[in-house]
Amino acid sequence: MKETRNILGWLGMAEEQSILLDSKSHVEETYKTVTFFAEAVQAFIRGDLAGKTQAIDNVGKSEHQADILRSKMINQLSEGMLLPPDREDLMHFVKTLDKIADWTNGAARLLGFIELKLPEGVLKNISAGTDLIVASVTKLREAIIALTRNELKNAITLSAEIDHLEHQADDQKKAMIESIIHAKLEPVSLLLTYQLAEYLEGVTDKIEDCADFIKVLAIKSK
Amino acid sequence: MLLLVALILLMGIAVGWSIGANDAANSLGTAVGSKVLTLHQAIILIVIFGFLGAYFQGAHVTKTIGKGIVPLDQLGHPAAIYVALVACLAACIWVVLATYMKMPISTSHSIVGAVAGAGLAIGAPVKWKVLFDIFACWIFTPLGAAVLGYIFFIILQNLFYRLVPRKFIKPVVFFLIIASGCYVAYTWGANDVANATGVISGVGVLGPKMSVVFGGLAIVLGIMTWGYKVIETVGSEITRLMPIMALSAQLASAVNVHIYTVFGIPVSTSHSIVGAICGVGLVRGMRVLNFRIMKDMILCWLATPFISGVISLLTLKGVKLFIKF
Repeated sequence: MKETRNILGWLGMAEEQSILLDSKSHVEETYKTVTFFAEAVQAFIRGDLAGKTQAIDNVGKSEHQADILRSKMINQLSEGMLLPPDREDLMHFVKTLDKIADWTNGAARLLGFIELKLPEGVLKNISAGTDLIVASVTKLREAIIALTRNELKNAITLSAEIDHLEHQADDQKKAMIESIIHAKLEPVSLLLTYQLAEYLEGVTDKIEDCADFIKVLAIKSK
Repeated sequence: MLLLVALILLMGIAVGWSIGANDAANSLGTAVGSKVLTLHQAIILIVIFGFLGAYFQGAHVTKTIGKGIVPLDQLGHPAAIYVALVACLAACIWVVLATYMKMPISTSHSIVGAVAGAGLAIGAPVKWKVLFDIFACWIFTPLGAAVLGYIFFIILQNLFYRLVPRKFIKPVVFFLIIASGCYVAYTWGANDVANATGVISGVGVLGPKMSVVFGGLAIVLGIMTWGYKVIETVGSEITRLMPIMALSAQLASAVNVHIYTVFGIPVSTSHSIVGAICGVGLVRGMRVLNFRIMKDMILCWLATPFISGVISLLTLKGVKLFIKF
């Protein structure tokens, strides 16, 4: 079917490609959200509160842009006359892509509530967790670009690398929770920092979910 | 000579098979998708009506492709056979290449361009007036279908919801979807059979009636060996038209193609159905149209006759370097 030149089949495939091209813009916006979050984390570690607030504000704005793109894609998937053959997978893919920006925004909000300086060990783990998120989302961006270019093998390889990064993020979360326990934080900071650890790992989980859909779409396109 | 005749017949079968395999879904794919018909019932109806269209009205367009663009019957036998063979080959090459590159192209456009290109290669008198008329009709095919689709949808919608009692709407619409799908298959057979056998008839390898029977059988072969897979996917996974929308689009496309068939103009039945679907969709507003996709589609439509023409011209020039005729 993928090779057919039947016009209705072609239109469905073209709709699918169109959604994937839009998802490229969406992942760019998600990448920006994650980058702003990384800036906020770095500002927090430096003790630059104004810089942290500005970066968190940028995370919110970027996440809003990602939401707009998601709505556009969902509309396109449900309103057209001729729909892509794998529309259910694409719908889940679009929703999962959007969750990355949502969870990053959630992590940024939590970071905004933490006002006291945290111990060095905890900060080091927050930084390491954020680096893993940036690395994962960079791979995700590459995987989506590969998918739109029909480089299916490359898209699958990159998705596998994202899986590997997610395992590292699981270990990183464990290390961060250990450092939080040993830091003997006061109750509010303890609660917020623990939640932040959950969110940091949650973002990489969402990136992995998205990578799974990339694998599905790539395999179906073969 | 016998080898050339065998090759040209094989090419005819290949083109006919490709038409049957790929375009059968345009007629009753929607009916299968909306569970009005089973796949087997749809296949039987497409085979019957596609063949009837080819048999009863296929000769009009066959004459245009065989003699109307380049008068193959006046060229003398070796030259005419080479023109026909290379035109078929070039059209096939471009259809295969375009399919590989996932481009939506029309066999009708491909064969017309290829015949003109082959004619030019040997300095045959290409009938530019006929070619210009065909090009003009290609532009009007999707546009006319869109206008008809828009009008039919508005009329049918009002007719059904105002005049037909509610309990009769569903059975009547379903019956009409099947009837209009059969009409699409009929006009498809009548117009597209010439793509497979127009040049075969033009050079006199087969008589006009025999050539449409031959082409019709090749199309039937395509439907039965591959077409059903395309119908299944298109019907169940891609088209999502309301029954009255599907009915309006099918009726508009069939009427549109039938008019061109009567005048012997080879047009793309695919362009017609897409135009009709767009026209029906426009009743809902412009937002249903994806202009990015439409731009790609129109570019492919425009490029096809020129590319197949150039392939045909260069191939025949190449053949002439080695074989004198």
